[in-house]
This record gives sequence, structure tokens and C-alpha cells, in this order.
Amino acid sequence: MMTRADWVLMVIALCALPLLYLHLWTPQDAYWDVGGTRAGARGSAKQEPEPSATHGAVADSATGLRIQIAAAAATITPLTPDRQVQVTGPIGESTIEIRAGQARFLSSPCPGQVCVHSGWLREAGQLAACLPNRISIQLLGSRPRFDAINF
Amino acid sequence: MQIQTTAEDQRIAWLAALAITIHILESAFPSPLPGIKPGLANVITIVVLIQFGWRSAAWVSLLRVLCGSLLLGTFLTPTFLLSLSGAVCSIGILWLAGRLPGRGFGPVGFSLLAALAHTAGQFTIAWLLFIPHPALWRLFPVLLTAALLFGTVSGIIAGEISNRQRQCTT
Repeated sequence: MMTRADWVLMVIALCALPLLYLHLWTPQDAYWDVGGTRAGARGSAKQEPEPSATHGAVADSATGLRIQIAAAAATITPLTPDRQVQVTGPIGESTIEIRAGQARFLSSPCPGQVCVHSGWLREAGQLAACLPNRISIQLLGSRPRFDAINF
Repeated sequence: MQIQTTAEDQRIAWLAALAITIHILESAFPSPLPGIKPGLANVITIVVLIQFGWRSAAWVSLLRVLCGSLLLGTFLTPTFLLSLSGAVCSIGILWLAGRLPGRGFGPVGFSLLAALAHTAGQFTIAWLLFIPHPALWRLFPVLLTAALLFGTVSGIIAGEISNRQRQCTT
């Protein structure tokens, strides 16, 4: 029932799959290497992964960062220079880091740390939010890559 | 006005109807993992490919996607686009596989290739159009593993069906 070509194909597929797992599941991409390093190293920026500078096309699409705290009017800040912004929400102070045209929550007083684990926002339209501290940040740009179906 | 139909047209319509039925029955069962589906309707595609050639198989496959989406109410939705891209990729690779010299692939090989191409094509479209997020690729090997498994099972079923049919007709 199985021809020789079938067997060859099967063997190739079975060999290629583990390689694919190995390739795609190895945390080589700094963006996704957040689980282990970030949870343990809250506040110490040295161990944090770097934002990737190679993401050029993406980095120029974002032109600003909108920071929204609770029901107050949103503030829009430019993405240069690289810096850390302290914002105070209902439960404490969150730190937002802006570097290389990208932004993220560096630290937050919230229990879940969902905002911090969201990682770097790289593309216009991307958003990270901290519900306990009622802060959200979003990259702005003329041509957002993401829309409502994003997450 | 009457449309002239050939015996081949009617055969394709019958087989497509069968494939659509399986497609819809399958969509009634909840999937254990989102994005993973046995794809049993492809058994029909493979049987048709082996018995009646690539052209009929392509017709059956595309008709299944079109009519299945009309009946399920997903026509022109993202689900339909994904389904279509998967079907187009798999019949594309089946065309290539059919050109192989020698004895070539059997049902299991065809089914496996079709399943892998289906998943890969669908995944690429999903990534390009709907979820352009780098983390999506983590799901890719998982989906391919499922494709490998279900593709092989479908192929074995298709081979068995072809064998029995041959016994019936001879």
C-alpha cells in the first residue's frame, strides 16, 4: 500500500519536524524571551533583552506614543530620545521605557504583570495595557499595521 | 436553456456532494485544539485523485470549499479565505506530486503532502493577513505535527477505500 516515495516522504517529514520545533521554539528572539528573565528581574534593566534594531521597517512606521492614565486625557510623547517615563496610576508608579522607536512597560506595581510581559511594542497600532493600574500605551503612526483583529 | 452535462460533470458533482457532507459533519464536532481539524473530507479528494485524476480532484476540492462555506455561512469570511488557501495549496502540491516519474506516491504520500501543504499555506495566509505577530510561528510545528498525523490517517483510509472499490469493480 505504501510506495517507496511514500516512505521517503514520511521519513523526511518525521526528520524535519523536530528540527522545526528546535528552530522555532528556541528562544533566540529577544522579543519573546520574556518569560524567565523578566519575571525574576523586575526593575533591573540590565538583564532585560534589547529591542531589536533590525526591525527597521517597523520602527519608522511608529511616530509617537500615546499614554493613557485612567480617565484623564491621553498624552502623546515622541519616541525620541531613548528614555524612561514614570507614570502614576491608582495603585502606584509604572515605568515605561522608550528605546529605538519602540516602547514597553518596564515595571509596574500590579500583581499580574501582564503589561510588562506584553514586551516591546514595535509597530504602529500595537497596544499594551495595565488594567489594575489603569494605564495603557499605544504606538501611533500614519499606517498602523494592526487593527481590531490584532489580539 | 439547458446546460449540457457530461458523465464526468455528474460524477464530480456526486463526489463533491459527498465531500461537502463530510466537511459539514466534521465542522459540527468541536475541535480539541483551535486550528486543528482531522480534515476527513480530504479522503474524498485523495480517492478521486487516484481514480479519476488531478482535474477531478481539483474540482471536488474547490467545490467543497465553496459550497461548504455557503452552507456553513462562512463564505468570504476569514475562515473561508483560510480554507480556500489551504485547498489551493494542497491541490497545487498534488499536481506537482503527480508529475513524479516512476510509481510515484501512493494514497498515503499524496494525503500527507496535501495535508502538509494545506497547513503551511493556510498558516502563511493567516500570518500575512490576520495575525502578523512573530509569536504565531511557535504554533507552526504543532499544526504541522497534527497535519502529519491526520494526513497519514486520511491517506490510509483513502487507500483502503480505493482498494475495496477496485475489488468491487473487478
